[in-house]
Amino acid sequence: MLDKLALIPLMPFLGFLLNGLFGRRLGKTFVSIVGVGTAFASAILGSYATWEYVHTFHDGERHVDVVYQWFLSGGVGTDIAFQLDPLSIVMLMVVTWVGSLIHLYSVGYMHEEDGYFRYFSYLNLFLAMMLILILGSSYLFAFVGWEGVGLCSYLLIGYYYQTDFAPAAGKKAFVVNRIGDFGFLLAMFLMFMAFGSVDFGAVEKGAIGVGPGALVTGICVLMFVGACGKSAQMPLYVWLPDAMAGPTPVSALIHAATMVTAGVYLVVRSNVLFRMSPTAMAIVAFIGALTALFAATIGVAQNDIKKVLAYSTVSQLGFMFIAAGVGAYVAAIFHLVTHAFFKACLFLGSGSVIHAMGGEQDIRKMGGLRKHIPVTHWTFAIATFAIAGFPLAAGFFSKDEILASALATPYFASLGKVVWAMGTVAALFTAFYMYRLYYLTFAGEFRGTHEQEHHLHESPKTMTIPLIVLASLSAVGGLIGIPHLLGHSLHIPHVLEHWLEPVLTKVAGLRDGAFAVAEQPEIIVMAGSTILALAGWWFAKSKYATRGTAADEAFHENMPGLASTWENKYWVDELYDAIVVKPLHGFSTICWKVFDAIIDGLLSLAAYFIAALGDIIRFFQTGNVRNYALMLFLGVVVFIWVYV
Amino acid sequence: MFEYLIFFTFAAIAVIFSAIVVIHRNPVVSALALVVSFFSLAVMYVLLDAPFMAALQVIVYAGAIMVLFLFVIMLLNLAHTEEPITRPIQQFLGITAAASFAITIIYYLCKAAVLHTGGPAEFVSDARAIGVSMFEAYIFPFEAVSILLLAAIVGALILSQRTSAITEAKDGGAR
Amino acid sequence: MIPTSWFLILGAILFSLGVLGVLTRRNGITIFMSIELMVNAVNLTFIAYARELGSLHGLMWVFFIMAVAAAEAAVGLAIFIALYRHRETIDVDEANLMHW
Repeated sequence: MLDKLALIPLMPFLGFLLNGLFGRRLGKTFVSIVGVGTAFASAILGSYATWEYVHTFHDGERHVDVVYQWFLSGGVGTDIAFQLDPLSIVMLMVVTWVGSLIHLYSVGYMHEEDGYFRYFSYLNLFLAMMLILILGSSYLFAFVGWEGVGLCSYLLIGYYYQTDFAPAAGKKAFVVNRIGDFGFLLAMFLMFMAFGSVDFGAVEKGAIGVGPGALVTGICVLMFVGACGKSAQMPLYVWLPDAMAGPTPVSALIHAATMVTAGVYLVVRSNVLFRMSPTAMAIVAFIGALTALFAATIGVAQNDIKKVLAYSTVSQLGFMFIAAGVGAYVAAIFHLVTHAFFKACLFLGSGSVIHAMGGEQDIRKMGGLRKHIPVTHWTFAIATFAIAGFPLAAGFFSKDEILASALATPYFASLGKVVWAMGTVAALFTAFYMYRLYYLTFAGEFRGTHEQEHHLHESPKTMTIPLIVLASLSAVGGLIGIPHLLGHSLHIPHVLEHWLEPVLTKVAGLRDGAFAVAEQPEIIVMAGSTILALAGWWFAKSKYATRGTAADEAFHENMPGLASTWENKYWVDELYDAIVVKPLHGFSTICWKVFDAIIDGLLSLAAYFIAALGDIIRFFQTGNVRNYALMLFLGVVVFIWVYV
Repeated sequence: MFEYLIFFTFAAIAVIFSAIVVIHRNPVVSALALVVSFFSLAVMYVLLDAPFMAALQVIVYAGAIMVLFLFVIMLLNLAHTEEPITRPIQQFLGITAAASFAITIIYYLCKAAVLHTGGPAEFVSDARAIGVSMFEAYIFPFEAVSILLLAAIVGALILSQRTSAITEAKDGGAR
Repeated sequence: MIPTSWFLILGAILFSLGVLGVLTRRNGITIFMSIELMVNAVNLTFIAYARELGSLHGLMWVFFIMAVAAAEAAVGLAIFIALYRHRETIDVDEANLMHW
């Protein structure tokens, strides 16, 4: 299996081809079997490859499986090659298994939709591209997957293409991502130029050879621009909330669990480069903290169930970048994994809620759903506890590790404190808005119409099984990263840290990729976040558990400025519209009006000359064969005189 | 000397009768003049040590092709249709072009004249030599030409049908 | 031995006569005969060069030219028959549908 890694992405790609080409004819059953079957097939193949990897390599070496040489041009070339190493394996497991569960969920959720086959072929293509992204052994090949998932994201956001907003949202996602991709491309050009290769291993070696400096910082910053686009960090986060226009399972898979974490993966993958450049790390950490706080405050005032979760995703991605920025790469991946579990569960749960409500997404019109859809309620509740950082749930361990690392980071002292403070406030907001969402949706009295209340029903098995699996993972997923503080006394190792250690290459003169957090700050942080989680819970419960939306109205009355700022997302979209879109539009109009006249005029002039010439020449086209013969013989005569 | 006598005699015949072909207004006369011209060319081939080609010239051209021409002239009853006069401008341009062509070619031929033959003494071009060459070196073009002739026969048949096969098929479909 | 040039010049004269016929006549059959004349002039040239060079290749060419000319005559005359059926004429100036 290790020499056939290409099969893993090939499986869903096959599903994409089958569903895309024949799905319309062959009906929904066939499409479901192919779509879900290929996803699970690649998950099983991936697990088998992992099993073999573990039994073959004991020190976490990088296994590269070259399929063929992609291109070679003047000594610079790259291969189509897949690699397996501990980091890839973590991503592989998350992507294939969570992806398969979401495929399964989609069978139930999308059952009534037109274009069922289209949905599944896109989803399969997405899975194939995501696997190329995480298994590719060079930046360039990973970039193929990077662009591929961007394309699928665009296609799936615009899935409801008959509406106005969905295609617009897709376009926005695509354009904003392009800005980031541009940074990634420039980073790759720099690598080609400096190291002559874009292979992960070669770049790492090259960077170590060159040593810290402007070059490495430049590569890192440009790469982070790419990560900002894909992972929705400031200032390029604006596309992700709009991406909720797509079907809910898509939001769960692409815009929460997998694709948006690609930026984090990229940063962790390049950890050697980043560790060489404290400047770049500081930028990553600060942007992450800013995004985490910013998005969390917006999440407080949103009323669309998916919008709240979208801003929550942006905020949690910010946490991951805090971890990557302060050098706690294990914590970043840890949070990535737990986030994939609980956020997928939350999104799928919200999908189940929307399904039950018959398409309603406004939480002000929900309430009291606890007794109508119990399975959804319980899974949603567990995931809420996980994301809010309730003690011993998955999010608790990962978020604590991030905050403790920020406080204890050896890379920069004062900025680490600032980042820690911002992250802590963001964590408080997180707990608050998540419990607000939970109480407004599931607690209190039902606030919708009678028809909606009559219609309420639990979702089918294909939807609830993934929910239950993901909720269980949200509950116990934190066990892969028990902090040392607890681990020492209970004799449980930090599994993930141990596993990822080989990826965080030890380089002479550089700090290690993993650093130990002293016990004292960890106790403080842990106690602090427990208090915060409980405080957020208590506050949200007191406001929203029984009184419905009254607290929101009071907030709007007492602090109208802050409330509308948050509700309108700090007017960022309007700001971008004013400083980027409008001027660009104006400039385009000028180009159109002025340059068009000049260029078109020149072209028309040329065309006019040709036409005039044709008017003269066509007199020779008499249709009289003998005239043609005459021309022929005269031509021969002239030819002989000139050339012989 | 005898050779030269034959050459000039038949060269003169060839040129004169070729001129008749081009100038005479009755196509039947033209065709008959063309036959004479071909015969004199056959004599030229004999002078050029190619008796087999001379035989072919008589059989294929003077025999087969010219009969075809005459047959078509009879079939269309062209001997009695008056050919309209060519427009003077066309006449002038045609003569000019032909004359300039002739002058050009002959000028360059004289310039690079080969006034004595330097070829090897034994130029064997009898039927045996030609046959060996044809069925060994030229077997593929030979087969290709045979297919071409077959295609020409079929094409000629279809083209000269009274109602073409295509229109018939259309009529049949309509019925 | 008669010099090769003389045969070539004879060929050139016959060819030019053929050109004259093609360029000045309107009767399709006559034009066609002029073309045959040109073909024969070329054949003469080929054979003259074949003897000059002592090679059989020239003769082979003449053979194939004759075969192609036979095919051409058959198809060409069939075309004139078809033309005559449609337009009651073989005046090539009448067949000018290709003009602008």
